[in-house]
Amino acid sequence: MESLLRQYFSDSNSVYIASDHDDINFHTGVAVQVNGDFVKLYLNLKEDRIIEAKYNVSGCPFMIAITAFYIERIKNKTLLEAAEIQDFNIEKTLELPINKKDRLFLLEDALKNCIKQINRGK
Amino acid sequence: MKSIYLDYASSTPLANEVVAEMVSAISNNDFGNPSSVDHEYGKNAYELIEDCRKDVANLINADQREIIWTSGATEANNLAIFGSYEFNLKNKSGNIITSMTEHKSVIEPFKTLQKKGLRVLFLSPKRNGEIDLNELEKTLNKDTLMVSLMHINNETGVLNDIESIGEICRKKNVIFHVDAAQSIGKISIDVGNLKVDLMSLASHKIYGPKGIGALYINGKTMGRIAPIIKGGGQERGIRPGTLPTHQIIGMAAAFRLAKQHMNNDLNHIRKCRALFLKSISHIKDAVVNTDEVSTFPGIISLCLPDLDAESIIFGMNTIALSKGSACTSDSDEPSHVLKSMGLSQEEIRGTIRISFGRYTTMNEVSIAAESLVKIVTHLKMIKGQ
Repeated sequence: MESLLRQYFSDSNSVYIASDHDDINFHTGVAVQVNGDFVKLYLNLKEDRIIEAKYNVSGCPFMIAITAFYIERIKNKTLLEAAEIQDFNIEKTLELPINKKDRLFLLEDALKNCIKQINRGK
Repeated sequence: MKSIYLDYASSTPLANEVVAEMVSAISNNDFGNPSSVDHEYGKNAYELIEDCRKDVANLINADQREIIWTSGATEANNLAIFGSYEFNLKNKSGNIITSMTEHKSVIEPFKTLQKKGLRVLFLSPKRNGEIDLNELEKTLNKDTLMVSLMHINNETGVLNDIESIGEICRKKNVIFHVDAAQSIGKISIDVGNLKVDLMSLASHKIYGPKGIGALYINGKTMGRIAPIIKGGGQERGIRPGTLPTHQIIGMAAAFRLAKQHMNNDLNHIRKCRALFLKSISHIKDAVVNTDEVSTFPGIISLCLPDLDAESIIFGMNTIALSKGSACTSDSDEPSHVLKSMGLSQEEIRGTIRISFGRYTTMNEVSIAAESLVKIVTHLKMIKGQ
C-alpha cells in the first residue's frame, strides 16, 4: 500500500504550472478544508469530454495521493463519469484510513465547483 | 537501508557501553532481589544498585540518598505532583503554578488535581516559548504552594532559567519541581547551586534504557512526598516495587557516560544545528519557532507555514524525525505547546521537529537538509507556489 501511496504522492505529471499552461483555457474548481487542506482542479473540455486535467493540492500525503490518482483517471472521461468519484475505487486502492476519508469529500467539492463554473459559462 | 535518525528528543539508541553493562548484569545472573539482603544474591544486587544510585546522583551533584528510582520521567513527574499533594498540599488551600508548555505527564496530573479542587494556574509562554519570569513573579503569591516548570521543552527545545526560577520560589517558600527529562546529561545541572526541591530524571533520552528513571528529592528542603503506589517498603517506602537491577545498571552507565561526554556532545550538536540551518537557509518562509539564545541546540522546531508537516515527513522517508513530541505524534490534535505559544493553525500544521544527538554525523545532517529542501520544493510546486 505504501508504495502506491508514495507513487501518487511523488507524482507530478499532472500538476498545474501556470507558465506551462497559460495558453490553455481551463475551467477551475477550488475547495478548502478547515484544517487547511486545499485542492484546485483544472479541466479542459472538448464538448463534454475532459481532454486535459491538472491540479494543485496541499495537505496530508493522502490528500495529495488521492488527487493525483483521480486526475490520472478522469482524462478522456465525460464530466458525468468524472463526477462519480466512488467509481474510481480510490478509498480501497489507496487504503484510505478512516480519519482520512473526508479528503474525498474535498475532492468532490472541488469538482462540483468546477462543474458550476463550466455551467455558468454555458 | 535504515533511515537516518534525527529524533533524539524522542528517544536515543543505547550506548554500546550501556548495552555491555546491561548484558553483563543479565549474563552474570544478578537476579537477586535487592530487598532480600539476608543472602548474597540480594546483597549483591543491593550493592550494585547503591553504586548506581551514586552515579546518578553524581551527574547532578546530589547526595545518593536524594535519588529515588522510578519507571521513567513520567512516573517521576506523577510522583512529584501527586506525592506532594498527598503528603501536604491536599490539606492546604492555595494554588500551584505550572505552564501550558509542560509535558502531558505534568499537565494531566495537574488537571486531575484541579478536579479535586486544587487551583492550578497554567502560565502561557511568550511567543518564543519562554516563560516570562516577571509574569511568574507577579503570579506567585502568598498562597502559592508549588511551581512545576520543565528545564528543556521536548517539542521546541526552549530552555527555562531554572536557576532564577528556583531563587524566586525559594524566596517565597514555594516547592519547585523541575521536569529535567530532556536536559539531564545534556547540559550541566548542579542541584547544589540550584534551588530545586524535586527533579524528574529520564534514562532513555541519554542513551540509556527505557523503563527506568528517577526522582531527585532535595533532602534539605521542603520537597517531601508521599508514595502514590502502595506496596512494600522499597525506596524508603516512597516508591514500592522490586527494583530492576539491570535497568538501573543501564541508567547509571548512561549517566556516567553523559558526564564524560557532555561538553563534546554539546559542541557536536551545536555544529549539527549550525550546518542544518545553513543548509536550509534558502528555503523561503522556513522559520525556527524559538530564539537561538534560549533554545537547547539539539532541538529545532521548524515551521514551514504553507505546508503540511505530515507530508514533509512522509516525503523525507529516509529521515526519522517528528511533527512534535512522540507522545502526541499519532494524534490529530494540534500541539498544545505550539498552540500556547500563539502559533496559528497553519504554522502548527507546518511545524516539524528535528533533534540531534551524540551519534549524528555531519553527513547525515547534510543528507537530511537536502531531503528537506527537495520535499519542500516538491510540495510548493504541487501547491502551485
